[in-house]
Amino acid sequence: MKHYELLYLVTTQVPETQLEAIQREISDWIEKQGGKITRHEAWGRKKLAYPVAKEKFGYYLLVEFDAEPSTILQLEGQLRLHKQVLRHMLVNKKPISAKELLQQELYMQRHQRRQVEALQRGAGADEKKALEKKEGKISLEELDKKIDELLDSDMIK
Amino acid sequence: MAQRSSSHRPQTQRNKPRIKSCDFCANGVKAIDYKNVQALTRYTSSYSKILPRRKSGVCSKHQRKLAMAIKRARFMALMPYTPRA
Repeated sequence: MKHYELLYLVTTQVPETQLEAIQREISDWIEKQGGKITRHEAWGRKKLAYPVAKEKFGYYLLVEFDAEPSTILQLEGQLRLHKQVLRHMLVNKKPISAKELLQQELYMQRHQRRQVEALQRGAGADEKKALEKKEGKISLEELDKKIDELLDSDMIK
Repeated sequence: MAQRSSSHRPQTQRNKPRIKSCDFCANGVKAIDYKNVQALTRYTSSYSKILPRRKSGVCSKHQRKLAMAIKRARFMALMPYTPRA
């Protein structure tokens, strides 16, 4: 038994109500082959980075499962033939321990903090200093909001 | 010459700041998740290309993993191959 993670992209041409049927269909395949599903996730309708099959949006669905490696080829074949599944990504995944998960989260937090610091050091530094002098200390909540805004605008580019 | 902020000494083209160490190594990252687009975009250029190691400072081991993750994310349309025209 190996641990796998499958992410697949479903067309928005199917109504959202039918999405669950597709999800069940695929998880049934996995279970029929003796696989064991450990996690399900629906990301919902998301904008694609580029159009796929002339579609600009898509539903992302995620399944994590344990299965025999010999059954994977069949599953891949079935996914490829599935008309509503535009793309899929089936990867081996090592189950991560709680400790490693924590480490990753810490890393993300540190990364965000560094980004904010870099922004503050940049062009906005002088402005910010002037602002702080005027308003004194800004409350933490306000700062958080500002950070979020900065991060958002950075993401959009 | 325009005056720079006082704390920084002026840097010439040849005297670029040195990158200290790989971010992933420093944080003990073992696997790079291709679904975490926010983290991956940091290692792509404005033309959506994967940054070379000399720019990002990532070690070769993690650069390989990072490249794989970005390519996977691109295939799943989570990340662009090219910037939007």
